[in-house]
Amino acid sequence: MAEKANAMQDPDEAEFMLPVDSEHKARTVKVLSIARPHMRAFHLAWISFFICFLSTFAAPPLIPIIRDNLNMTKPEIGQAAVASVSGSIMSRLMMGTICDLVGPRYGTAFLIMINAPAVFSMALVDDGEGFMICRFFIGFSLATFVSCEYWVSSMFTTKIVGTVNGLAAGWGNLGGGVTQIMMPLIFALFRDSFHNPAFTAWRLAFFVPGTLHVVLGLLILFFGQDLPDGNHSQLQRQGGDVKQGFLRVVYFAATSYRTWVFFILYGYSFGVELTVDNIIAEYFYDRFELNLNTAGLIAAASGLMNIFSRPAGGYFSDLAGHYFGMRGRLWFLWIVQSMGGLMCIVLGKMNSLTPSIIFMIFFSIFVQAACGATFGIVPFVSRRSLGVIIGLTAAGGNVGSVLTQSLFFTSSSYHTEVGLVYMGIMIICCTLPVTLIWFPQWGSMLFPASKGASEEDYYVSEWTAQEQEQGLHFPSLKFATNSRSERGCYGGVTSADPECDQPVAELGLSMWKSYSH
Amino acid sequence: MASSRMLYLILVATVATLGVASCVEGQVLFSTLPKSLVVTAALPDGKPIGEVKTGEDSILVKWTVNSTASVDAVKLKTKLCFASESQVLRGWRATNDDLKKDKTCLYDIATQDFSRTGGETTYKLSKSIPGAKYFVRAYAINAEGKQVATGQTSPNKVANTFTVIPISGRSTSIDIAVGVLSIFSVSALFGFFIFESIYLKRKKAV
Repeated sequence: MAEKANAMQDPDEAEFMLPVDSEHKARTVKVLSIARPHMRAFHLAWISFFICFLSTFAAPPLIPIIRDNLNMTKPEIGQAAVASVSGSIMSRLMMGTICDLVGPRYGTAFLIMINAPAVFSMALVDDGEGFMICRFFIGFSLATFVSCEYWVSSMFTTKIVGTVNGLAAGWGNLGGGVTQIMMPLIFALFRDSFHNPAFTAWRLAFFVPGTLHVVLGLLILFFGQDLPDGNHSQLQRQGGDVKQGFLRVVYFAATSYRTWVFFILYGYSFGVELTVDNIIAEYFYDRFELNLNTAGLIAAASGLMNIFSRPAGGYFSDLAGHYFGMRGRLWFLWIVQSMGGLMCIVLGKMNSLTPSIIFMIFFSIFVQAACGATFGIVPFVSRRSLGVIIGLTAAGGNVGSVLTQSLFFTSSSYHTEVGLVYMGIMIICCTLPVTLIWFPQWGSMLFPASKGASEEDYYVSEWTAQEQEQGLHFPSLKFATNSRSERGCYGGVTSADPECDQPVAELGLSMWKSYSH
Repeated sequence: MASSRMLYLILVATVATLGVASCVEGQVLFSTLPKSLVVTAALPDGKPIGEVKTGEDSILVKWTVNSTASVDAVKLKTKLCFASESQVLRGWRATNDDLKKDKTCLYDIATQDFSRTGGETTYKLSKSIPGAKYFVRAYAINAEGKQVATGQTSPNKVANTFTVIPISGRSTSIDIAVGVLSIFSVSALFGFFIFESIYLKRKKAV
């Protein structure tokens, strides 16, 4: 029997270039490889998200030229910026369901290839209204966040899925920074090397992100794969009443107050990151009299912090969780996000260039780390409704961006720097709800856990008695057992986690516990 | 909070120092400049300007020195400036009395040598000038590069302004390229879906 088992294992291991678990999900991530199917999927997922960020924020660094060409006023520019992030509120909510139905490969490819005409159409706009409509439709492509996370979670095992999600989302968000450098350079290329007037050169520049949409869509269709063993349509779907299950999942997500706290919170970490992507190049161009390329370069510094700050936020959240359990994670999130708010206030009050750049960079590091820390806690809010909660949190991020841009950066009655101060104050206020998050088995920031509460009770309570009789709640039980690590090593409640005795340096990726969809 | 108050004090001190510094440098305030120059702008054939197109039309700018004024200048700069109605809700074109911060006149017409008898210049409008209402202003510049006198075609930035019609930046080839690439993208997507489902059906049939 043992020989048979061994013989069964060997073909699996030989088939994949990375070590895999029983579901054939990869157990490690090798960033420099494009081995199929895992690493290829990872790279296709984060690059497609990167390109969508690239095209959504391609207009802001060129606003000083576009506003002259289209004769726009400040309110019109602000409304277009709001439109750019509001389109994806609905599309993010829908993307989770689409991935469930047709798989992330078709979902991503469909979205980015249907979105390409919107990017190309930017070359045709004649006035502020057309500009706003175009930015609205291009913004739909930000739903690739959900498909990226979904795809990556299907390919990598639960122990490392947190790190891989942080890498993929962080590197995807980079697009918002890279575009601030890239678009002015492409614009200069078309204007100076190809001798076009400025008002034509910016239109030609938009062909670059549009073409990248098409190219990447084709790459995903030809080289992508939904799951380690094949594509979605080729594999049997799980039995069960899909529609009933879906409604229950949404019900449990929507009725938990924690979902809505995160809806607000993410709006003031990711949402303000989107807002800053939209307004900061124009702010530096106008306030400090820089040229387009320099303003773009400085604005890019904000987005480029994503290379390390979002993954670092997730990593330090895990570190806090290891020592102090969920309470440590909550405190870490509150501290980091409030610091982001403070840096925003100071940024608005700086009158000269160098301090403004420094505080903008600090602000970016803190809010992006807060984004990473948020997704260190969200997977624990619910096991059953995880996809819907991720979609709602992500949508909340966009709502926060719409709100801050409408309130502070659309009206002509005060300057952008005053808007930044107000936004910083709002960040600090809207981060306070994190004090309300209380888990019966782990406690909250200010109150300890209730005695006798267990992880199993919490996660199994999401299934009705009928479903428990059918045994549908077993994945939640398994998750609950793994989540006991959130009691922390020094949290006061005794932890059964053997890893508490290990020195921290050795823990590395094994600290990431079950984050599976 | 004590730290924010401290920060505020530091900021006030910095601004005050900079304010003093700018006085030392000698900021020029527009309101203090004598209006010793007389400037007119017309079409090259002498007719008054109604509308002009960038990249095609030219304007003729003439300037003289008011007979009673004495102006000590070396150069004369003429600039295209925004009328009040083109500055509304556009903070990046705002008027500021400090000429270093003023954004009313963003486009240069010409820089000529100053002469008491006056001068003129014909300017073909550059394609990068945005569509708006404009007037022409002249500054007399002394040897240190500071403005010493000024004059403009419009008395209050409202009367006697002319309209500049910009290029759209679009062209037929751009329109065609957008159409072709958009159709390619959508048809490649649906084509792939169709071919893959046919291929899979064939596989299942086999």
